[in-house]
Amino acid sequence: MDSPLQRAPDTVAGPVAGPESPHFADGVVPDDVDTGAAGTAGAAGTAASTRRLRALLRRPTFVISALIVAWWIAAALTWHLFGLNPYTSTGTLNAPPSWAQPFGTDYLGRSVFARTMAGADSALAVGPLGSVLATLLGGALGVIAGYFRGWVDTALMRVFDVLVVLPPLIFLIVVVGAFGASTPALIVIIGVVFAPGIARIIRAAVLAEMGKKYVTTAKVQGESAVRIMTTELVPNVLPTVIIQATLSLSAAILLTATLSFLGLGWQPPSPDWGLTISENLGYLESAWWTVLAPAFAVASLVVATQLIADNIKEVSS
Amino acid sequence: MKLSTLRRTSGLAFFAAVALTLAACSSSSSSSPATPPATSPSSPAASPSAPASGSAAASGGVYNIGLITPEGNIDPLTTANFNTMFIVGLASAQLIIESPTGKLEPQLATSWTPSANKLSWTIALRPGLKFSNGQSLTANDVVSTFNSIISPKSQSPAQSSFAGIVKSVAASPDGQSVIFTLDQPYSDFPYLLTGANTWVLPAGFNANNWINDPVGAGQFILQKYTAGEGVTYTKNPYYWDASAVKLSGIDAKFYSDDQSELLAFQAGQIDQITSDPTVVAALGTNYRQEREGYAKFDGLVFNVTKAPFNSQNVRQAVAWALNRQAIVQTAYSGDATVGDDYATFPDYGVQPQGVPVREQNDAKVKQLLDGQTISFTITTYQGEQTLAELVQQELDATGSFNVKLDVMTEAAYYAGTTVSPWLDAPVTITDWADRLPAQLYSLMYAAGSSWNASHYADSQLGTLNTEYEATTSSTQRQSLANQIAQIEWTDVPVIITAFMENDIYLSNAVQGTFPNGQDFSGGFDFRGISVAS
Repeated sequence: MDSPLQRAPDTVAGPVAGPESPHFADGVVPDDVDTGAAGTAGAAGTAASTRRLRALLRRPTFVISALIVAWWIAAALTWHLFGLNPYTSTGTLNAPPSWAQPFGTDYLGRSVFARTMAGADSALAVGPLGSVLATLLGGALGVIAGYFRGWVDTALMRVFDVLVVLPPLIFLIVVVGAFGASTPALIVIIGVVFAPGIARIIRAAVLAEMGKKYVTTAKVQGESAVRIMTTELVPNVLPTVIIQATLSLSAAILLTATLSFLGLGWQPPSPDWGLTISENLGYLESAWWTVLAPAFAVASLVVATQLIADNIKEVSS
Repeated sequence: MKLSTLRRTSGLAFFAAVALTLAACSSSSSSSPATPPATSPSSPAASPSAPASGSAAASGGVYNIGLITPEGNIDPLTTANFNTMFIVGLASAQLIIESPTGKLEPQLATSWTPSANKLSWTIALRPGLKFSNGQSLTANDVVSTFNSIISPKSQSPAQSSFAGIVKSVAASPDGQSVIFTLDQPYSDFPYLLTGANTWVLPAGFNANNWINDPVGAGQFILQKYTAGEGVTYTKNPYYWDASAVKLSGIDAKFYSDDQSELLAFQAGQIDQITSDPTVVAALGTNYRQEREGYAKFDGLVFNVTKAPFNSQNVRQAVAWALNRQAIVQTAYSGDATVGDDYATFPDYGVQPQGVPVREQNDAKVKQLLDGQTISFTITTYQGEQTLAELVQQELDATGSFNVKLDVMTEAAYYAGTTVSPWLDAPVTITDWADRLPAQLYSLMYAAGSSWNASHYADSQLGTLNTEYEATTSSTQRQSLANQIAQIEWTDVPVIITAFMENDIYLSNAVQGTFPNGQDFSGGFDFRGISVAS
């Protein structure tokens, strides 16, 4: 499985350009070809996207995973609309699951169901924005490195080499210790941590595209570097970008839960899943439900996002 | 998607989540880089001059205990952590110890007598005392130890206990006693000798290197300390009451967290575990439980120099908002006695009278706050998280407070000496070990005390404490104790919701009853204890 935490090969890692990419023989642009072929390519791209979406929707693992992610997103956005209170005591400490409390209660008598639902809020507060930032940052740098090559590529790659070999969790602990664990800080830190891995993979995908005639054609037509990168290259490496964004989302959720587990993320009495697991570990024997529910929540969200990425990857290739 | 891919993908993510869940269940054997390497001091038991009584009485087996992995150097004069105190205390002895009922018991001293004007105390030493290396323990060693503690350059936490009380320490002319000259009369002075860091060390001894040369006069000899793993002890044949020590040794294992220690106890790897809510929940009543006095209280401390806590009404409102009985049941599993915001442990001889017991009273809270809502943050460390969450839950439930928590690591919470979160944050929760009321006053409430986290000062309270320690009249002491408690209760710079009992669970293999508490004031006393094979 690809992961933004893994070192990416310098060769192509993502899907190569699809059939929608304009191809011209030997780099010669025929006179009758509309050199502003974006319209044709755009229509072909839309059709391909529709085909991919249909293919994805035929895959049970994708559909189930998407439903799980949608469930947690809905929980994060709406838990407070259903009268759930993750902070107040229900009166009974460490009560086992029952009809009244389907996930039982914890050591302060709080509803584990309410805390698990509300925990989606903090789980999804950092991961999505952090992975979006990482994808934008890594994607942009990867495209720049792959397009310009030369000293720009060398300089960026050597910096990424250094960043990629740093163990993410240890790096994160040090940075959080220095700058704190506020939500904006965590989003930026996650973005910076995951960007190098994404950049390396996007760069490899761009390198594969650079040998294709549509890029050469665009250059011959005198298109600017920015235009070529944004309108020619990015659409062709977009599936790779989406896969990396999804994988980084999964890793970001796990990493922020780990930080909270270690006491470096959300503060009590937050229902954050990692924090809740940490708080209730001492009760693992006597009140296993207090640990199982948030652990299952983390696992379900991480597995679902990973499966979504895997499905997109397979359909794209 | 291929089935194999699905399995691999699910497996990896599931493993990661389960790893999160179970991380703390594993006991780490990693060594702390700050801790010294293993040492193997020579055993006096092998010495030809070792008394025969040592080995003859040592048929009670080896007692296994668990400790949380200590950090940093282990120095008897400066250590302030329970686990390192345990390591030192097993191999060291004080002049006097305090029983769980608050009674003074002789240890290296046999008697303690005040002068007629009560400005000096003569502590008679037990004849024939020896350190674990066979060297005689003399009055000069005691003088040297206490001079190290009270020296202006001392880094010992015990220094503050003696500051303003002990003027000088000297050996008696016959060398059989030690004379403590005081700045002012202090009736409870012998209790100060049961305090932390008062273990007697050889004169001229480098306490900073104690772990490499662990000489002491305690019940056991530290044989081997292995950083990150544990400590082994053998019985000290030179201990003054060696015949009462049945154990042949103690094996202390280090655990990275409480959960690992609990699992080790259930697996029979250790013979005891300190009670706390997680232990009680896991063990129930299937094990023998022993109570040994009081361990501590967890004070909710207001920095009275910072708004809104410069208002007595706000401080009192918080005090009236708490359900102390619920706190005892939830945060202490019932193993505590309800507190009433004055610093007198329930086992102390003079209990204040006439101070009303605060019970949760929402109407009173609203009246004191005049309908306002007070927002603040409680700063504390991970060991106090449960209590902090419970206090927050109870305060928020009144609708008069909006409380947030800042839970730090213990190292971060106590970081710094003059500026530190535990000393400067507006509201903190800090635990205080069992001490005399006068000691607690001098540390917690006295103006100028470096540990006065509330920054509170009241000259009348200081005068009353001085008068209290100067008198021996029980009637007068009771009256003064009442007045002291009333001021602390009214001004409420520190809320004391409960006094936690010192309860331990013992394996069924343990025989005998601990004569004194397993803490510094009780001398980590294992006399009469044995372990069935």
